Amino acid sequence: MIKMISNLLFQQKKTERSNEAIVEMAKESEEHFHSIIQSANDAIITADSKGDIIFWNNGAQNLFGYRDEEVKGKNLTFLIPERYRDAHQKGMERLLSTGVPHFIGKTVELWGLRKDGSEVIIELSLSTWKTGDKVFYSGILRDITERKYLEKLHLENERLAYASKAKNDFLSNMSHELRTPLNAVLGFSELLKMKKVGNLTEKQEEYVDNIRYGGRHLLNLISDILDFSKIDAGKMELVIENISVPETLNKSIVMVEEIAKKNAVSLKEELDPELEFIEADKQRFTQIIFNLLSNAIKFNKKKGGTVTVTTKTEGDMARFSVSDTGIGIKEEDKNKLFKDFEQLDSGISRKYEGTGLGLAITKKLVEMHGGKIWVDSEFGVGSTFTFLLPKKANKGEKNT
Amino acid sequence: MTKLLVVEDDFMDSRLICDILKAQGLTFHYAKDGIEAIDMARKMLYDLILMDIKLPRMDGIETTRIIKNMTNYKKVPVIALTAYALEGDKERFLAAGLDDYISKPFDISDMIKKLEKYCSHDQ
Repeated sequence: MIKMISNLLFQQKKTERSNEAIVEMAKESEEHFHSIIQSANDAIITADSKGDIIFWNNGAQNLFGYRDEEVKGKNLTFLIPERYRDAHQKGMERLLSTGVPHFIGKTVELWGLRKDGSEVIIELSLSTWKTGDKVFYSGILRDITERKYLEKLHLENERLAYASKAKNDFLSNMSHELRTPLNAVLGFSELLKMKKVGNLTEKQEEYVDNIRYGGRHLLNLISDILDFSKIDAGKMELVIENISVPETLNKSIVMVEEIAKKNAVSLKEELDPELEFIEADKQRFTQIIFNLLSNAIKFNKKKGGTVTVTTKTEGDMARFSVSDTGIGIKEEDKNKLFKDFEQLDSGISRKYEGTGLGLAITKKLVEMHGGKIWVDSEFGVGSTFTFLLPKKANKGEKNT
Repeated sequence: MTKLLVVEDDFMDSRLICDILKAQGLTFHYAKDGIEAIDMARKMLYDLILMDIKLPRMDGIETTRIIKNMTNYKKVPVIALTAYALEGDKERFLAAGLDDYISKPFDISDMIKKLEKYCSHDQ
């Protein structure tokens, strides 16, 4: 008998202990899940079938600003901006009557209303479960303000890149389209001039020269306009390399020798032997010098004029000057000089031909290298165009 | 005699090239687009190809790439003829296997110089 009782007692103790263990396990499990939910960054809210709030985690408090006591038992609608409440109501009604949820199991974006009255864009992930015959809703909400902002930026960047590419394609296509018919004009007139298809009378040769002259001018105009458009559109990139100053200058001088001779202008060089190399874009540097030289020749004395090219090293800068013995520039005209499309006097401009863009482009090219350009002049005596370039360039300079 | 292939779709440009080459005493074959050029390159091994870049259907760069990959064409020089003159274009051409570049509008003496350079390897 005693054995039976002690057995019973033993069993009872065992059951008590396993009950304790079960309760312990349950407590641990509860703590575990509770911690997960409370430590989550996202807001986790549960509500009953009517939409009254049952559970509200720390994340929800951070998102909306309400403490747990302030919201328990209240209906969700206060979390929704007024203008959307109607739609929400209708959705809830539909839900209750049909049992068919609108966006259960999906993720939606919507506006929420905070305690302080401000609105926040939220991503909501909604789920539902049943206990007995009661339906519950659980929502996980996340503030996606930053994500939305980044999305907008990304879209904007794409749009800009597309527009930029379209413009670039346009420039590229225009360059091609404009040069193509000129090929026929210049090519065939040159073949004529070379007398490859028969001899020419003096008058015929003169006509051919006129055609070539016009064609050449047009070609220069096109090149200048495209250069200018490119710089203007921020599409011009400099290819910086170490270039030899005397060598590059000589190349430009050779290029203008013919027109110098034609205009009876003599070319002089005064090169500083200390200035051997600079870091610059070879093609663009040549273009700058060539532009200044051809202006100096063009706007020079009718006969016996001189053009002098001077170089000087000045600390970490290099100074270049091109002077002429031409008509000079009036003080009040000096600032018009580097602007696009303004030649100083349209009567003169017709005589001196040119695109009106040369100096504007030159100025931009100098400035893209980080340099400066200006003119000194005495009306009736001559002008000197001077520009400074840093000897060491910023590698990979792009114009802004 | 240098076997020369000219690929050019523009009516005026083809007339011009024709006359320049004739004036230089050069004979050549002519294709008006990339597909025709590839076909002709397959049928006969040319010594030099002048390739217009802007061609209908298949551009000159793609055509060059295909021809250069054909047997025996690795060493055959292909010169681009093009009105495209923006920076980066030259690099693009060279990257596709083009050996040189003549820009339009043609500088005829420059063109003649280049032709002499590439035609001088007469076997």
